[in-house]
Amino acid sequence: MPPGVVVRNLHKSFYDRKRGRIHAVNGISFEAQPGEIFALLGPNGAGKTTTLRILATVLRPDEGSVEIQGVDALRSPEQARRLLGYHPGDAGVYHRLTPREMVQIFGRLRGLDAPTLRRRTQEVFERLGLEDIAHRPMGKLSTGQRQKAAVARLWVMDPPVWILDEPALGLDLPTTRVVEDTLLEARNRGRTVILSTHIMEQAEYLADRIGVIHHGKIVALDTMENLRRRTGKQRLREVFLALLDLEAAA
Amino acid sequence: MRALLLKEYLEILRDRRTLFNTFVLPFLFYPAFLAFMGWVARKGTETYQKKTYAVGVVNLADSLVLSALRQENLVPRILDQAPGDSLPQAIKAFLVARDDTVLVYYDGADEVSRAVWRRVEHALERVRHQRLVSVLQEVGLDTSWLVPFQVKPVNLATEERMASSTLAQILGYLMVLFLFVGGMNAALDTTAGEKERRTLEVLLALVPRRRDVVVAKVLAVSTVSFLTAPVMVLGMLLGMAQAGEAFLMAGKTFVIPWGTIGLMLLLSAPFAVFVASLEVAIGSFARSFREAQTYVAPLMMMAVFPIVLASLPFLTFTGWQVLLPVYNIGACFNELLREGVVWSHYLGTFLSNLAYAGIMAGFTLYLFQREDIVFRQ
Ligand SMILES: Nc1ncnc2c1ncn2[C@@H]1O[C@H](COP(=O)(O)OP(=O)(O)OP(=O)(O)O)[C@@H](O)[C@H]1O
Ligand SMILES: [Mg+2]
Repeated sequence: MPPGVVVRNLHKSFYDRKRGRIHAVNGISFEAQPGEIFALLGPNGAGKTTTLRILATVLRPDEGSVEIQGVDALRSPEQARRLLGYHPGDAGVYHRLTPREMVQIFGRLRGLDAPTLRRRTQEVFERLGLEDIAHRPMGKLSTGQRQKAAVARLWVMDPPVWILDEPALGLDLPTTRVVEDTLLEARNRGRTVILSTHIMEQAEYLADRIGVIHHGKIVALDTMENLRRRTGKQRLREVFLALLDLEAAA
Repeated sequence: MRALLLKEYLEILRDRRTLFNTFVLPFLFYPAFLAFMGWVARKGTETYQKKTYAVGVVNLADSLVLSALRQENLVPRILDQAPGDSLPQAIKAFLVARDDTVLVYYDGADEVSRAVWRRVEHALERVRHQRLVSVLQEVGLDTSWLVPFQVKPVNLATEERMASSTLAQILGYLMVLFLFVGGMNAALDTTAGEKERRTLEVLLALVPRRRDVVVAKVLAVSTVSFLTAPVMVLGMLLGMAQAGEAFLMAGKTFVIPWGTIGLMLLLSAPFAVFVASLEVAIGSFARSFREAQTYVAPLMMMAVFPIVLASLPFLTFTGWQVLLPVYNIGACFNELLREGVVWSHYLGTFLSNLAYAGIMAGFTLYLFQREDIVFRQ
């Protein structure tokens, strides 16, 4: 079985009229296996969203390679897209559609046949407690309900590789837990889950391995335990800050 | 592709702004607005015509002049001194006789004063005529040759043709304008709006071919333009008829042959694709819905210019003009409504619009492939 995601030496820069050339991603490499949750943990502007957009074939890197389940995502993006699902954090839902319509349409775009789609939608909506609001336009739902709908969309499609950009942004604790449990379950079903976050606790709770990203580089990549050991700190925030300092020292 | 289109149409159908623009504005708001404007304009001229104004008169206490002024609804005030640099309060013009000249002082910057001056001119013209007549009569001459013939206009146009000519001028104009406006909101929403809500990236990560995403958007927007424009035009026309006499052609019936309507719609199809592609391109370039709106405003101004030009009656639609985008369709509609179909013009316009639609759609596709455009920051 090929690894879920292989990222080698990604580079991506943007040109900004005011700031000049910005190296948003500056040589990132990592691998994630099926049945693993990999978290990109970093402060604002670290390059998390840009990295995930490249993995999701939305952006093309200037340099480097991405493999999704053994498929070269740069050479055959069409094939790679069939293997991944992308969830852009706190947004990414259609306000004038209902959760059910959105999930149905995206399921069809993914190529699921009607009976499978109906069955899975039913199942997932039940599990996420979305039945009551399944027919309400998402513009009228709360942030948490919208997020759940977006997660439902991913779950119904259930691709081998899940890519999520800050999946718990702006969520309260109970909703965060629902989202997290969904991801843990996906991992247990053998999915490769890649997510970004700037919340230490979330990385610790979910991730099997964490890549700490800062200024477009991975400054540390390990399990939480090992990161603790390396920095010699106990409290999560101390660990995080110590790791960012490491980069500054280097 | 069907699922993509379904998504686009569902979104559009639920968009209150599009529905509002299509149904509420042309059926209710614009006619009411036009009726109101017509009423205001009519009221304005009416009061203008009836109202009496005071004019100063110096050195000219001639009863003939005074009564002529009164006939023009002017009230002469006999004064004994000419005004200085400006008109005295409440006096709109000033007549001063000096030797064989009557000086008329008025304020050219004041609309009322200008109107009063025109009335004074009429009055004096009449006085001059009367003087001439009485002098001639005194010497016993026949005065009938002073007015050697009368002029009486006879309008040969039927009411229907009168209405059609007015109609041609506004209908072609409205149709092209609404083809622009009809899909605008949908186009910006499905591009800049989707960017803002980050749904676009979800779509791009899911749909294997990026081209399909754009094609669905352009198709959806084209159909919206194509379907809403005639509805909006109809709404406007019905509304204007409703608005009653306030509007120029009310009370007259106008008939457009079905063939003309068919030809207009047929020509609208490629133009709708052209406009939709352009709007989708603009929306893709903008970073947010608001930014997109700021781009659209000058575009509309630029588009209105050739449309207005095309609807002017004295410009003739000739050969090479079928190549001018936007202008050509306006001119072609105009010609269709006024004179009937001129096949060389119609086909030329149709083909050139087809070509422009293709070029524009190709450009939009290209733009959408450029991530530095779609993901500008
Ligand atoms: N399309 C773009 N054009 C120009 N600059 C960009 C673009 N996208 C990202 N950047 C810049 O690249 C850097 C990395 O941005 P990115 O969004 O990847 O960070 P992030 O880790 O997701 O941050 P956050 O926690 O704020 O979401 C930032 O400096 C950002 O301003
Ligand atoms: Mg981000």
